[in-house]
Amino acid sequence: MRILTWLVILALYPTILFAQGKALYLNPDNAPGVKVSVLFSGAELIPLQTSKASHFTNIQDFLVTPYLFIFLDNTSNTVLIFNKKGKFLYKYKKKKYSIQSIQYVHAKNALFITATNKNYTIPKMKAQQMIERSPKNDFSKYVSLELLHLDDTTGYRVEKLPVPRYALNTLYYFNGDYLSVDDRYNKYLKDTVAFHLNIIHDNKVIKSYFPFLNIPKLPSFYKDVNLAIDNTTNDSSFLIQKQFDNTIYELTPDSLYAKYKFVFPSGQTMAGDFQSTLFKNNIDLETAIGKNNKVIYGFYNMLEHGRLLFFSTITVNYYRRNLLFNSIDNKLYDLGKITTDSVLYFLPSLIFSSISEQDDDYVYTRISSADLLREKDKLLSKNKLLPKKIEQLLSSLDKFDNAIIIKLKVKPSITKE
Amino acid sequence: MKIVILLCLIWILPPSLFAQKNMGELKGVIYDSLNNYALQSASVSVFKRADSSIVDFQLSNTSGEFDIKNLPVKVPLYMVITYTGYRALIKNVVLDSLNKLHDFRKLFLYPRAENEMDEVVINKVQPIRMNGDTLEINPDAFKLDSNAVVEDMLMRVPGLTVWGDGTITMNGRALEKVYVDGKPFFGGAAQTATQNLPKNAIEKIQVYQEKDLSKIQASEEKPDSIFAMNIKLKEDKKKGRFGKVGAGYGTDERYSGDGVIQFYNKRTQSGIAIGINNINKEDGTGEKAFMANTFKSNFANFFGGNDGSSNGITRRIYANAKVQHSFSESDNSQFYNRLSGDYGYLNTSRNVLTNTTNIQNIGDYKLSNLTNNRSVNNDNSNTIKLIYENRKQYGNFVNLSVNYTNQYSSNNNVLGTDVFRNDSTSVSKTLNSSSSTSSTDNLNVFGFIRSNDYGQLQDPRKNYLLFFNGGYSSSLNNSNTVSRFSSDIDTIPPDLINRRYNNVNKNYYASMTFNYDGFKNLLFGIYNFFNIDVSLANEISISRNEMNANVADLDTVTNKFGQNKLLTNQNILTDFQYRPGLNFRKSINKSVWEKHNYWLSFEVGLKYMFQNQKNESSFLFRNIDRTLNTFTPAFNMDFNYNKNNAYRINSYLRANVGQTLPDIDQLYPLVDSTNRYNIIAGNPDLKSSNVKESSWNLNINRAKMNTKSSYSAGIYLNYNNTSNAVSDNTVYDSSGRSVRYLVNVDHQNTFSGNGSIRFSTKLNKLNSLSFSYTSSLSSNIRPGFINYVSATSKNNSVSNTLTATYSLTDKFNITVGETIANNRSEQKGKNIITSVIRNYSTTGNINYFITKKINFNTSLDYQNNKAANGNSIKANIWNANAIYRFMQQKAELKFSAFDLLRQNKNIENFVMENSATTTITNGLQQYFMITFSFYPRKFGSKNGPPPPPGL
Repeated sequence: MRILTWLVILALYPTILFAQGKALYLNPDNAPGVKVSVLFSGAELIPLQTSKASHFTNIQDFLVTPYLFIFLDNTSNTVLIFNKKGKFLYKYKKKKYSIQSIQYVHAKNALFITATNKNYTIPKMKAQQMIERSPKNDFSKYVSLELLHLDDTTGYRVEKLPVPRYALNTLYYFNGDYLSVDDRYNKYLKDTVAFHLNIIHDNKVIKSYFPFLNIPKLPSFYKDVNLAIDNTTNDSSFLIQKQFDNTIYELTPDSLYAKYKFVFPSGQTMAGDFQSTLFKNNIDLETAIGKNNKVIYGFYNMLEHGRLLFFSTITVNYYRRNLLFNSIDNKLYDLGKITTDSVLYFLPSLIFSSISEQDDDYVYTRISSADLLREKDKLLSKNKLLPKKIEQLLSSLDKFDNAIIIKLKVKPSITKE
Repeated sequence: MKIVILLCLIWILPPSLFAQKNMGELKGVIYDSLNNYALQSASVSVFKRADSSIVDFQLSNTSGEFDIKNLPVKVPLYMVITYTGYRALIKNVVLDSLNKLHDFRKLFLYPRAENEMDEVVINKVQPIRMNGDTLEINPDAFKLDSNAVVEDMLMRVPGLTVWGDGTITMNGRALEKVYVDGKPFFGGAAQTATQNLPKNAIEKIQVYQEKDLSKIQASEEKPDSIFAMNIKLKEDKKKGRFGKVGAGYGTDERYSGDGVIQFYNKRTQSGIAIGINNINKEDGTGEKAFMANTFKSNFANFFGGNDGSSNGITRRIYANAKVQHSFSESDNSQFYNRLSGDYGYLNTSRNVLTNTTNIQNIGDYKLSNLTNNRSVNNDNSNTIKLIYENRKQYGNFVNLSVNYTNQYSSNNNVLGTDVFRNDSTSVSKTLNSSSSTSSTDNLNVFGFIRSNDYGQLQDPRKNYLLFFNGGYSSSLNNSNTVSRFSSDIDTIPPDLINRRYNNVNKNYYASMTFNYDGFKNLLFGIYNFFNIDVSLANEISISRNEMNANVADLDTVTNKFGQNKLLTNQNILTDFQYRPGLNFRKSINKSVWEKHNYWLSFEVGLKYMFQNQKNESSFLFRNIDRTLNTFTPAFNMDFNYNKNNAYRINSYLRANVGQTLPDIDQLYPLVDSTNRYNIIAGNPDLKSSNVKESSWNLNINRAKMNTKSSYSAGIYLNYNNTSNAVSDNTVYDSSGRSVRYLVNVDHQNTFSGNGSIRFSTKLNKLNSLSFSYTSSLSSNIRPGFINYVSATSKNNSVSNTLTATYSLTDKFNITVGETIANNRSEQKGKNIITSVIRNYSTTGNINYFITKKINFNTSLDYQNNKAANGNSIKANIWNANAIYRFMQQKAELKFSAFDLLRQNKNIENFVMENSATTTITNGLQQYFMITFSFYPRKFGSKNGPPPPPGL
């Protein structure tokens, strides 16, 4: 059975502004690879200092600020701060709380840290109930929101932020307000139409985007709707992509617009009426999703660097692909097919799987020490002249050392029109 | 002898095993012609030019390089390189002894123009590819016989091993689930799918990891994952039928016949199996007939089997039907809603003759019991099983099973016993003859409902598990026993008993377990309570057993049957148990990306048992009403460790403490005097036994991808300590009869363990070698008394088996195995008496495909049984089969010979406590049989595949 379509909702809620460009017809399956030297003009390997204090076990997140490298280690529940030469500067550990996410706030040169109290587990439905029905306005008992000021002259001062009820959802710092993500059917909402994204100011929703029908039996009743949200170098804009929608939107304080409207072949795209289909049960939903396992489920690691857009896709059966879109000539490249050469000292193409950070001049990725050591022989044999710094690194590296940051300089020629 | 057999086996190994030298190699690097970058994961396949059969294949590495070794020399070959979006590149090559290595260096692929549509052709030649974390096998790429089945293809895929018992492993780990379009296929046994479904009906095969949902507990954070294989059928092959009809007749009036037909479509699977045989064939009959009569079962690798060498001679007639219907047509194996039903009829008629020599050591002397038993038995049964399974969410299950069995059997038995003292002095004789009929009805209903908010999305306060089990059974037994006893030592006159029994038994039972897993959330709300899960457990069970025994003895004077007042009785036993308690569970996990991860969980169950048992009997002394209140704690620990791309370890520890009441027949038994030599005298003072049990299991598997070799190893240990165990003081009289006076003893211990190691390696594409070693040991200590003297018996048994298999796919396979089993019993009483028995068994199986149509296989089993008295009995059992397939392999003629050397003897030795026993049983003798089988097969609808769109 089909029900009201998105068209109806969009007609009712004209909050999405479609200042979209033309559709980009591309096929990720056929995206070619490229030689490293076509894209990048140089690379630098920056080993991160490994000491008892600075050693990390599992990187959940990696951020690059104008002066620092920042890591969230979810196993040891710490934030580790290094300077851009790899020197360890500071370790932030939060007791009683488990750190959920970190986000760099340019305007304040600070790190926005969200953490949840380890003593509480709040089921999603309970969280929805607490957000909608709780008389309390302060949820600092359950969630901590902080700004860690990164100016070392102040000794990494921590500023506690008020915790609105919406902090029980996934929260982003957005231009002085918060962006709250609602990814599921919510029975505590009276309205039939709900929104995946709400901008919160003082515990109140001031703006909403991505409307959806808040009624049972739709996909959002059975499963979380996945939204990929990535920072830009600018505090007041995000790149956003919603599951099964191959468009990357840009959210600014005033508007949301479709920035890259990709159209992929039908075999890789979910049928248009999926979001508005009522499913009898979870089995039917899973069957509909699994019907074509090449369908792209969502994007992640979206990064705009000049006219280049780095992004990764994941299909219904978890196949990941790392892509590069050049908006000058509208060409799509598959980073998995990159052929390495001397510009990158013949480092393996594996490193292009995690380009997720940038600053004004460079994009950044990383390689684990164990992986680099595996390539050691190849590096020594293929490069006739390896910089002394790298030779030293290879000779002193241990496989349990911290990861090595790779700083890549994008060729100016390919980003110029 | 063993050495001779081994030498023979090695001599007939085909020369191909040793012909691995002198092989060629092709290598190169694949590049994109336009942008000059290397193409990784391009599919490179080498074919023979003569028949386009595939020789080997590889995916290019991250630098675009490939290197294919072990290629035949002096054979015209062609190599096809394909890559999505590019034109295929084909290169002809002939390798010779001077030019064994051919390096193509850089090979450029040209992108296909938009309108070039050769995608279909390209897909047909890619044999394997990694799609995300799923290995996809493309059947179209394997050029096999039109009759090839899925298994023929799997044997050619690197990393996959098809084992002799039908198990399939992927890089050493067993594929625990095999699905067809996301559903279990005729009960889920792998070979039903892999040995029946034709390769040509398959669109693709996916091998992937899935969560082992059977192990998801209350809020377990890291459920174990298992390897699963999904066989995806082509759209036009989603319905089909297959089966087998076979009949054979042989010398010595031996016959065998089987008929199996199975149907499937998108939602329903159904099958019927019928059969008859008088060759002691039990394996692969009844419900297992569906698994055993596959298209390839006779014509695949042969790993021997001991069919026919079991005790006695049995004729078996069976008929089975099977239906499975899925209410949702889902390809997703995780969620389902289906009903399955099974019906089975079985008639067995068995003729068994047994001669037994039993020697008991009783302090100063030995008693030898020589018995001769002849029994004729006929048994009819009907079984109906219904199972409903539903799972719509990760943590929500509904399972309901109903089983009904009705059985009628008749038995005639004649047993003669002669007892000697110290082998020479005859002390007594008994002759028992009995005939009986019995009919039983049994209905059982069990199931569980589970609601678990695994993802913490809804309300965890609603988490629970309800398990229920209930049923009714009734039986009616009528029998007549004539027993004659005469003593050669005592002066008592011979004793004759002619006794009739009429027993009616009714049993009602119900039990329920309710675990309220939301208890923590109910108590603490969203507070985590140190991440300890608390569940409220309740177990309740009630049973009632009604027995009415009417026993009558023949009065030899009046020649009339009169009631036996010692044995005629009515008895009602009711038992009630309630076990409330709390379960606490905490789990810890840690994972370091790309290095390792582990998961450790502890569970403590604190439960208290209230038991009430009431026995109401027509004998006043058997009327008892007793209660047992006891604390029954349990401790469980689970551990998983996974080292990335190296190995994985699973381990668990279980420990529990409990008490069991002695049963009414241990306290106040009713003694039947026809049981001449072993009389139990009860003990009303017996206390309940305290049982402490612990077990530990450890498994290690290699988890390295893309290796030729894989291994796995496992160990299991179990320890049991019982204090206040029920043991006995056995008192012998001069005629060799014994009375067992039951007593409580402490320190009754049992220790057992087993271990296994498996290793397999692919020597090259078609040659593989595998070894498996299994070992088991058990040791028990049982304190007791013989003639009032303390006598502790210790029994140790150890068994070791080593098996090696070499297989040349489609041509030849050989398995050689050796088992050494040792059983030692020590009785420590007045003297220490030790008995040792040893069994050596050497087996060898050979399977040889002489042509694609003719298969010859043979098995030799050499047995050497050393009895406690040092006597050694040796036997060679040699069986052979020749199979010819014709009519596109759909018809089969099989000639089989059983026991060519006429040495089949069923000899078994046992040692236990103070006795050593040897039994010799009749069995099948040499016979030759000729069997004809036909395999009707049809896959897809009559209309053939649907036309391509647009036509």
